[in-house]
Parts: sequence; C-alpha cells; structure tokens
Amino acid sequence: MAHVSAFSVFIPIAVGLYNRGMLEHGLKNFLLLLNINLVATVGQLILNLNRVNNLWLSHVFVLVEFTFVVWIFSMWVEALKVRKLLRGFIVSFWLLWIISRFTFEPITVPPAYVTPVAKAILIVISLYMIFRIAQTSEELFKEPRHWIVSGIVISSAASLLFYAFRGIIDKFGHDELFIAYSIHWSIQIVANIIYSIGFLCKQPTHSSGGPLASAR
Amino acid sequence: MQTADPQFWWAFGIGSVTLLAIVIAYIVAVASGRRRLIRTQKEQIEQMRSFSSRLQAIREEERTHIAREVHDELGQTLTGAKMYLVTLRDSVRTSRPGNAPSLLKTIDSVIKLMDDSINVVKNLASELRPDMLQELGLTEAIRWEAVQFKERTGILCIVNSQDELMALGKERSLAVFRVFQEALTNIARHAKAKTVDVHMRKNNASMVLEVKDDGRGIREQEIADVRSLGLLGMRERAVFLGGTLHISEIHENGARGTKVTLTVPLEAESHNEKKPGDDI
Repeated sequence: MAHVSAFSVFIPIAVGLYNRGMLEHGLKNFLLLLNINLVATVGQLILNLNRVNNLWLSHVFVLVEFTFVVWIFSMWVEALKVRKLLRGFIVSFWLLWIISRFTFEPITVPPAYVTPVAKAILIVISLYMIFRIAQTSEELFKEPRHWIVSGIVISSAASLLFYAFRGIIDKFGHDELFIAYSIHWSIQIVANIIYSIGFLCKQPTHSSGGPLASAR
Repeated sequence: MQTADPQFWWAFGIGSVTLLAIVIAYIVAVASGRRRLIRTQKEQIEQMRSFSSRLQAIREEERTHIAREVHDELGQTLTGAKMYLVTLRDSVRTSRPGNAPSLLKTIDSVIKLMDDSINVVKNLASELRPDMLQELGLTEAIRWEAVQFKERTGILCIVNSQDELMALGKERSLAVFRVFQEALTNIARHAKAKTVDVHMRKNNASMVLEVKDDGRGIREQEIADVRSLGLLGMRERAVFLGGTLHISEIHENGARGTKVTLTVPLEAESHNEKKPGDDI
C-alpha cells in the first residue's frame, strides 16, 4: 500500500499532463511540484534500496513543497498585502528550515518539528484560500483551484498528524502501526485523486491584476 | 487484532479531534466565503440599481442641457436672424436706390448670426460625440483630450502610445475615450495630482490603457464604494467592451498615486462575458 500511495501521484500527473494546455499558470506550477514529488519519491526508493540514508530528501522536499504551494497561492491572491504576507511566510520558513538543519533537526534525522510546522501553516493558508475562493467563485465544484487547495488541506492534515505523532507511531505494535500507516497512505491517495479532479475541471478565464474590489 | 496500545488510542483520539477541527474550519471557511459572495452579489445588484437611476438622471440632465443650449443660444440667434430678415423684407419692399449699403449691412448681420448658429450646433454635436475621435482616431483624440485637460486644470498630462495602435471601431473607441475622460475627471476632482501619465499599448490581442497619477492615491473602501458611480460607469463600459478595469493605489519609491488600467480585447466579444470569481 505504501507504494500505491507513493505512486498514486501518477494519477494527477497523468491528468495534468493530458490537460496541460488548458491549465493556468498556478496549476502548471502545481503540476511541476507533483512531478518533483514523484522524482523525490523515486529518489527515496533508490536510496533506500541502496541502504543510503534518504531522510535528507524528505527535508528538502518539504522546503520545496512549502515554497511552491505558498508561491502558487500568492499568485492566486490579488490583494497586494496578502501576497506580500504569503511571500514573507516563504522567507521565514526558509530561515526556520536552515536554522533547524544546524540546530535541533539535522538533515539525517527523521522530520519531526519543521515538517509539522510547515503542514500546519499550509493548512491555515489553505483554509484562507478556500474562504477566498468560496467568496469569489460562483460554481465552487467547477473551480479547479478549490479542488487543488482542498487536496492540499487533506494531504497536509494527514501529514501534520503523521509527523507530529511519528515518535509515538514508531513505538506502536505491528497492527496499530499498520492502521496508522494505512490511514496516512489512504488520505494521500484521496488527496491525489482530488488533485486529479482539479486538473479535470474546465479552466476559467482569469483576469490579471488588481484586487478583488477592483473587479467588482 | 489484540488490545491496542493505550498510546495508540491517545494518538488516535488527538488525531481525530484535530482532523475534525480541520473539517469544521473547512466548512466554516466555505460557508463564510459563500455568505460574503451572496452579500457582494446583493451589493452589486444595489449598485446596478443606483447606477441605473443615476443613468436616468444623467439622461435628463443631458436633455435639459441640450434644451437650454438650443433655447438660449440657437433660439435667440435664430430669432435675431428672423428679425433681421423681417427688417430686410420691409426694406426691400420700400427699397430705394440709395438703400443698398443699409441692406448689405443687414445681410452681413444675418450671415454673422447664421455663423454663430452653426458654431452652437457644432459645439453641441462635439459634446455629444467628439469630432476628434471620428476624424483622427482614438490615439489622437486621447492626446487632444490630454491637452484640453491640461488647459482646464493645469495638471500636466503626458500621453505615451505605440504608433501602430490598433483600430478599435467607432463604438469601442468611444467607450474607451469615455473611460479616459472619466478617469481624468476623477483625477481633477479628487486626486490632487500634478502629473498624469497615460500609456496606451497593445498586449497580445488586447489594448491596454493605463492612466497613472501622482496624487493622494485611492483607498480600498473608495474603490469598493457602491456610491462611486463614476467608477461603476467605467467598469460597466469595460464589461460592455468584454474587457476589464482595475483601479489600484500606487506605492512606488515613497510616491503615491492611483492607477486605472483598462484592458480591452481588440476583437469584439459578446458583452458581459466576465464572470464573478475570476480573481480571488
């Protein structure tokens, strides 16, 4: 199931590539992130098979994922202040990530602090994005950004809990461990299916520039 | 499965509560977003209503203005001309050989009054539909309006335009020109600006008209104000053209100001194609 979950990212990638010509800029960037995710997964697998520590890849991917997702959100938000705030989050997270690597969470240990923080921030920002999309989009279920952001909320929530409880989960017995991992993997599969739905939605024509108020 | 580890249940419980909290937050976010959307739509309807009544008022105002111009200017001139013609007729009836200079003087007066009448008609027509636009095209009409604006207000207005700028068609050119006029009117009324920069350029299949001033700027509340009928009128014209209008405050190197950007597709599109929700 671990491999099914890890490679379920193939589904949104395939759908996204099929519809690539119709995707708007932010969604294309998200598709690129999914491709990076796939490469990171394959890389981790190869390193694991060669018995090389692959944890550094997880750490690096969290940084890449956070940067991509928040940058994409900042592209979708037209209000200048919010856009600046989101980009400020990226800079702050980079600082936290660099500091943590040299202090409390070296790159060779399992992610336990910075990743949950990243996921928690992503959940909060995603919920804000959901609010903004619901506020501006008449047909929420035909809005690709709604599906993508919802997928991010689901995926981040699962990852937040998984990494926050990693210390406890690793001490579980075989059955409990299987349940915990199964829940985590299932949620990741669901998130990937939701991303695919997002890529399948008809892309609306977006205007450029100016806050929402100016479009009213 | 054997009795689970207590730590498992603890983690499971905390995890479930956290997930539940996220789900609730998600529902709240969607619900509040939808509520805002409904409120915005109501405001838009309200705005359209007030715009419509304002439009009626403007129409009436315009009719009154034209009626006044016709009555006060044209009416008086024509009455004067008629009186001269009556005098002329009487003079011709009782004409004597030595009266020719006096008759010529009366004819000159009639011709002068006719010239005045023609000018009044020209001015009226020009106000109703700018001559420049028809004769020289949009770019030159905008340059001309910029010069007139400088003369009226003392605010310097610089127009930069791509030379190969596009023909938009009569109606669309007029709509763009009216948006430009409204932008200048707003600057003169509210901005306290010293300079206005106007840029016209072609961007892919669109024409972009950008009007930037160095005035006091504009607040978000002012942009969103339902009573800003001038702004609403500009937006309505933009939607009519199948384009977009964005108004924003400028903060560049400590300088303030307002930027109005009108984007109009060069090819005519069906009206009101823009849907809400195109921007987040």
